[in-house]
Amino acid sequence: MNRKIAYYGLLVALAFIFSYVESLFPINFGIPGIKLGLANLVVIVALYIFGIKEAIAVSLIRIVLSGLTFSSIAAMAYSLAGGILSLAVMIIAKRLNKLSAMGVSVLGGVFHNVGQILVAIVVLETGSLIYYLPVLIISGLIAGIIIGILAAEVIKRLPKTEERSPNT
Amino acid sequence: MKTKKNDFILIGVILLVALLIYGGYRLANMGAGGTILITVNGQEYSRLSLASEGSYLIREGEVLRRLSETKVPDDITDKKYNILTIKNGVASMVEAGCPDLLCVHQKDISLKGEQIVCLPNKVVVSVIDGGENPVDTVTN
Repeated sequence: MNRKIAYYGLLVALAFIFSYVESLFPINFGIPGIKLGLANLVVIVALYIFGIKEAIAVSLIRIVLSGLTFSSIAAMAYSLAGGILSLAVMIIAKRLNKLSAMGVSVLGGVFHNVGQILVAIVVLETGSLIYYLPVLIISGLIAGIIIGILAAEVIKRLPKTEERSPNT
Repeated sequence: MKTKKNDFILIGVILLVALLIYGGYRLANMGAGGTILITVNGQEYSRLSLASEGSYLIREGEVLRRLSETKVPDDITDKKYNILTIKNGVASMVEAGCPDLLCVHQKDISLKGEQIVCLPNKVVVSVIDGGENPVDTVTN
């Protein structure tokens, strides 16, 4: 149990720090408001090394913490929608076992942005925001590829689940 | 963990979907756009012609104000404002009270279907097709 708590703490802290670093030096693609989403790296690694429960916990706690610390409650709502949709899609994609971590990460990146734009459509009551969808899909794709490459390298270097499972 | 063939198929499919949405959007918004529609909080706020040059103050709960110069009027002390300018048939957001200023950095709009969004102030500025006489906008 203690070991499990320690792992959760470690992962959340890492994701939180990534959010912080990114709020200091936004890595943007020349499009306003678009970020790489480094924290997603921790979520994907958690999903592969530990499991679904851990990935959900890390993602949600990270979003709430960084929302309260670095941005506003409104921004947190967008972040939550993106995070939840992205994670749900990644969990399903991993279960289907047709893609590598890279493909899973790409789906996560794309659906993170799709989730946010869906909330914006509801909040602003303007369906015409679809206008932004292609740009957001492409930027999510690029972010997903970069995070996916990094995640695959990290997963390769970390010990397998059996030796390191927080459930033991 | 090697990248699989499926990963590349996925990337291709995503690119195609983005392209199709973009193409569909452009196709659905063909033709000249001559009017700017401003909505605040999902409600229509004001309409402006792209020919009516000037600076305008957008502020929730207040009618659209035409400004004599492009700066924030002295009587505004809070952050709930956006300033839009129209010049040479192009509209752009030049100032806003929102913290991130993402709307100010968005590109200028002139084509039908293009838009500028300010999420914190819930302001959407979009180009729609010509006002009263749609036939004229086609022949123009």
